[in-house]
Amino acid sequence: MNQIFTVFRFTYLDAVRKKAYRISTIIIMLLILILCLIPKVVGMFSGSDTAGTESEITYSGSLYLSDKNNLIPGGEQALAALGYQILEANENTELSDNELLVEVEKGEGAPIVHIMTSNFMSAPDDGPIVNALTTAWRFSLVGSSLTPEEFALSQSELGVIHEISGGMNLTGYSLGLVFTMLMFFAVYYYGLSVANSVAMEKTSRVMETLIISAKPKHILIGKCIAMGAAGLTQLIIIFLFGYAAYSSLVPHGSMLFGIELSFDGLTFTNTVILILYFLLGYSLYALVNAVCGASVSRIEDVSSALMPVSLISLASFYVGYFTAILGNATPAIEIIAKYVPFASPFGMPFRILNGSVTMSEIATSLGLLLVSIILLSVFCARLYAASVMFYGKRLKIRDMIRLKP
Amino acid sequence: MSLTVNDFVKKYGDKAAVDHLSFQMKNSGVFGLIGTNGAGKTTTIRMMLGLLSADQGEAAWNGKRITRESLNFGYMPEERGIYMKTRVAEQLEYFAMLRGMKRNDAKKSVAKWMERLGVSEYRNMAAEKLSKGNQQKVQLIAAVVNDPELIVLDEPFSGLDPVNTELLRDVIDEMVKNGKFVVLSSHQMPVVEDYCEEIVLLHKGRALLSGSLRDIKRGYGHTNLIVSCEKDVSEIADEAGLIRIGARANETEYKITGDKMAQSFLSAMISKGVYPIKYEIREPSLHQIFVEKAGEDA
Repeated sequence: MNQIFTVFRFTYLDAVRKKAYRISTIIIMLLILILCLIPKVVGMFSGSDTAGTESEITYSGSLYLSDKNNLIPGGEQALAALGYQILEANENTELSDNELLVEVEKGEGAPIVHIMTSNFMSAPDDGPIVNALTTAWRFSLVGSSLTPEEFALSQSELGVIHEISGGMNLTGYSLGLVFTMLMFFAVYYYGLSVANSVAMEKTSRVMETLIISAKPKHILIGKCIAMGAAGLTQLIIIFLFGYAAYSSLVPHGSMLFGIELSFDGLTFTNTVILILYFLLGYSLYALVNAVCGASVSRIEDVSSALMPVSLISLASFYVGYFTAILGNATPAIEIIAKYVPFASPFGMPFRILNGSVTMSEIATSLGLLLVSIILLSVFCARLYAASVMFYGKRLKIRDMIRLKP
Repeated sequence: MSLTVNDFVKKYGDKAAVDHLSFQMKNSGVFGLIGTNGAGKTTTIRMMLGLLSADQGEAAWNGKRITRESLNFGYMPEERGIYMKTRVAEQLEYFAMLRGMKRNDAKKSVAKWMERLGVSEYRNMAAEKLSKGNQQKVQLIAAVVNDPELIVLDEPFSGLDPVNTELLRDVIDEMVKNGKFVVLSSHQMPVVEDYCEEIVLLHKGRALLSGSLRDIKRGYGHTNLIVSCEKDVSEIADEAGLIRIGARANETEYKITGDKMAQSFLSAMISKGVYPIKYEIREPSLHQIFVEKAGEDA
């Protein structure tokens, strides 16, 4: 136990003191700061209150209407009801940004409407314009006893409120996807650093000095825990900073690309479960990566040794990611994403944040992950012990199994 | 106390890296494990210390199989292995603590050895900034920091300048004085000749010779004569039947059949008015013994 703690302490301090660790932490914090500032910056440019309430998508430009033959009577009122400032078009009309020209001409049956803008960037959603003119035209065909005001009112859109009975909403959906990706990058990269660290110790021959002092399995366990702790430390620093930046810079109810910036789904229980998934997922990949690192005698061979693990992790990530974005996975894929140990750390965060898994499913998934880690650690410790002192060609798994520890 | 290696065998495929090797070190001192590159020295050491599993045989300390737990040993590998980016004192304390030392004891021991080997000023420096010789001293400290009973040094002198060679010699002498068992592996025969009382001479994984170096040499008798003269004595040597086996700047080495041949050569020189500055009858060097034995084996 003392040896594990000694390896842990040395490896942890060595990892957190590394320039790459410190620089990557600062860069991620800066990115978070920039993200948190976006709503304010967007608010400043759109001229809205920086306190930022709900943003409304309105078209504030002018609309030139040309309907020389009055093919759509009431068209002008219908468009005005949409909020456009209606101007009369003539032959010299030139369009600038935020200006539209709507020209009505005779067709074989219904009139044809031309909608022109100065460039594609300033083109509005033409659906409401077409709907309003269509309604007005139909109305003119069947005749009406409505007053112009009543007609304008008839063009108003009904108020619609969307409500969702399940746990999934756009914010939870987006947060789930973000966490799926975060989990993948965290598990993958911290696991990768274990492989690099083991390979460095082996190729630089430090391993010989280490292994006469401590049992290989103690080195392996101490190293994996230390690198995981270094990763968790970095994540905690980043999340605490992110939380502080979000709380102080992002106004409540702010929206970005139509998505409310909210972390309401990240409850205490969910946070604890996500941390557990990170630690267990990381441990699983770290053990396998450590064996890959021990199989090489040259640091350049690490990437090729890691190829099978990288493929497994990528496939596992995509299972989690695509079942999340598509939402209608087949039962078999759903089971893989929830319960298969290599996939569940990437498949479960989305489901947890959107409330689409029960606590018993989470417990089963975590239990399977834990059992796999225990079994794998026995196997990996044996392979690690057998291969760390073997120098020469890159070892394949069957070579490692044959070697005596 | 004694170190016993009994019938070590290690094969890689069909090739035997170590082939039924046995030796014993009964007293403290320096034991030489010698041989050419690829003779099986490092494999033997690794099996001896339990870093590599032997296909057959075992190494024992006082009759008990050597493990990390059963014996406090130190090992300086041939290929230096230290953390290049880590501060020197920090990594040495780490190695000491891994071997069971408490933090304070580790700090004290590291400070003592760094002082002893003249590298104290580098304690807070990353190892990569040290010269090769100083890195080697750091590696030596890693091997002895826990005050081991058995110290194994694999090619400890390679890359050291004369001053540091002397320093290492003093350290080895000090360890021997303190009753330590030192196993020194080298392919540099003169080095082993200077240090070791007992040796095992390895060739292709097998022991060609083993035992007390003095006894081995004595077994060969007086076979070499080294002469240094102001005049050329090659004709006299030819007449006396001496075979020239080497020449250095101011001296010539001859192969002789015994003391009598050397004596008749000396008489012939004196009778012709040639007085040698140096006249040394000796046993063959370890290098010569090795070349002869390896030649026979080939």
